[in-house]
Amino acid sequence: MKLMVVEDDAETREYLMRGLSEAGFAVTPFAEPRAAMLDLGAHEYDAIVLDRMMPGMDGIDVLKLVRGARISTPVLMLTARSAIDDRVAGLEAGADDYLVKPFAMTELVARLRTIARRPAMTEPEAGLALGDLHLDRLTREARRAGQRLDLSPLEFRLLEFLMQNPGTVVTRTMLLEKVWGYRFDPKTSLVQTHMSRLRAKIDKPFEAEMIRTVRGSGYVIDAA
Amino acid sequence: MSSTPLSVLRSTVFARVLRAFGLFVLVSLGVLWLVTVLWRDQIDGLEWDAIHAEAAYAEDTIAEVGIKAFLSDYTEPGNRVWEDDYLYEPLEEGQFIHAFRSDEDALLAGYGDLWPDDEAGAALFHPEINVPVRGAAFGYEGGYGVIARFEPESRRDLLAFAQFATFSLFLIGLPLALFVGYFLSRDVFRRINVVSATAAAVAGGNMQSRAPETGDGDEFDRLARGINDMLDRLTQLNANIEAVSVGVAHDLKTPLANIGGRLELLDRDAGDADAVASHVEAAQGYLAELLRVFDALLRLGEVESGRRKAAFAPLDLSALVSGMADAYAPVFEDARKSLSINVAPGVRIEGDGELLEQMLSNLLENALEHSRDAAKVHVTIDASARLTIGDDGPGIPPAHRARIYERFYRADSSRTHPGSGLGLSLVKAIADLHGATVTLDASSPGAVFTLDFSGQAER
Repeated sequence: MKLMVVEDDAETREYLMRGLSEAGFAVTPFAEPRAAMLDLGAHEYDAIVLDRMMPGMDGIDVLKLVRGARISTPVLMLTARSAIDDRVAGLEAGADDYLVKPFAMTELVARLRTIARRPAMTEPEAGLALGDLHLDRLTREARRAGQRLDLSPLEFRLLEFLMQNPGTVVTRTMLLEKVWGYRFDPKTSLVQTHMSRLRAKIDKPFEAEMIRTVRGSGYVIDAA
Repeated sequence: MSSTPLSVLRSTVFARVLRAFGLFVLVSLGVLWLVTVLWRDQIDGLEWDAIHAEAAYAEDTIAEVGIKAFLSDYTEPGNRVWEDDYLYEPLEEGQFIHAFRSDEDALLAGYGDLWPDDEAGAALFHPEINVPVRGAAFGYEGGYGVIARFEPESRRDLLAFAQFATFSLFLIGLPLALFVGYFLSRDVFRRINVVSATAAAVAGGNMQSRAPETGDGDEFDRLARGINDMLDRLTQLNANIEAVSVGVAHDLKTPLANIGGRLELLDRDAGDADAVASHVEAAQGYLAELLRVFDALLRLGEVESGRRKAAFAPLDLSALVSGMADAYAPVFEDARKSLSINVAPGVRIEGDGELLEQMLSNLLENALEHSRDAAKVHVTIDASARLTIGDDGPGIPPAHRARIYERFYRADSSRTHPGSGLGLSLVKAIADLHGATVTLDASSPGAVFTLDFSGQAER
């Protein structure tokens, strides 16, 4: 997957380059937003990592220009630890996701994988399937190997989000944001508790486990 | 700023007093002179009417009976032709004076130096009296006559008074204005100087200095009180910042020392892949702890600045609370505690959903962490927007209750429980932002927090 990284700080840029290359992305780094924007006209990227604070130009303005030029490449914004308003401004300007520095590389990689593969504005499918696991979004029913699973609405949404990103690591914070809509970091094992209940329902009664815990980063669902 | 005479003269009060005086003088003069002129015209009008009536009477009578008969009737016998001295009587008494002449200018009766005049109708040439006269001239068979009167004394008095009043306004008023202005400004200066001296003392580092309040509730008292309130608030903020600095120093030192320790261990165990992995994971854990404290502090700062208020929107508090309680119920279950939820539906308030969720999670996690084993925790919200989150023990010891909202304050002084000591500060700040009161139920055996949004609930 081809990735553009726009970050003025050399150390962070180096860190991003290394981490993202190791995760299998083909990374093109830019230290300056103008050069990056010119390059966007010439090359196609699967996703852009854009720093919010750069000398001479605000990341939000860069993003507005990019979106104004009808370039719909998914953008993940990076920002220094600051107010929540920043995130809202970033998302309003057309960012697909937002991450606050300092962040774990696994978190960035997981988020980039989900936004980079997101198809542009397609109708949500009525059903999701992965291996012998089927999800009907209209009846809110889940079945594995033909057997109906008794999921709570929350567990259904959790499973739905995992199945939309099969084979991709989904982090705890991503689940909190996308499934619960929570923007804080709970001290308790909120996500783990619900996840273990979900796994007890969809994995325990069956032979093969579909949901795996990835130590230190999150969860991944795969066809068994 | 001291009250030297020069600085008093430069003061606003002084300038305003002078300006007000100037305006007063202008208006007074305007009114004075307007009245004077109208009054003078009134006097003049009556005067001319009287003169013309007298002249007309003389002219008509002469035409009827002839000059001889008229004069014998009109003048005193033996005093037909007047000496200079005689004129003092009509000057004082205001009687008419006259001169009747023949066509050859021979004086028949009256005063020899009273002549017709184009402007005033009559002109008087007297060796001593130079009071102006007004009169009317007319002709008759064989001669002509002038009837006149001295300008009335009331008219002269009036003009003299107007002039006198004008001078007095300047001569008495101006020094008076300067005098009043000076003392008024000096008084104001004195009162303000007390306040500015306080401000200067505070600027000079004496944060304890306060402006004296007289308590009489006048504008200077209000100013002093306003400044004192501001200083109190600043002092309190300062104290907060100090508490935060101490708290930050204390709370950040431990995880930082731990990270440092792990880095050392990493160096030592570089060859052992498992050990490296466990050191890295531990160090990341400490780092997360640090970042959590920073996040909480930033949130707190953001909330207390009041900036988030701009993003307030109507929201369904009931739905928000039930959603949050449902999310946490399994966590309580796993901890072998119970969470009972009793939410009145459709309670709506104005607020920031994200912050309210944060607040609720802090309270729920507080209850989860600090309640006894197998505790029953309850979340209720009644129809009047009163939210209660509480457990049934062991509660917060009374000695600590007053300080639980302070930043970095922990009832557990050993700081063995996890947590930043910012959770309840944030709860309080978010509640304040939403115009809600937070109370800790003193009678309950457990820690029961009540957040009352009824003050701002949608009506």
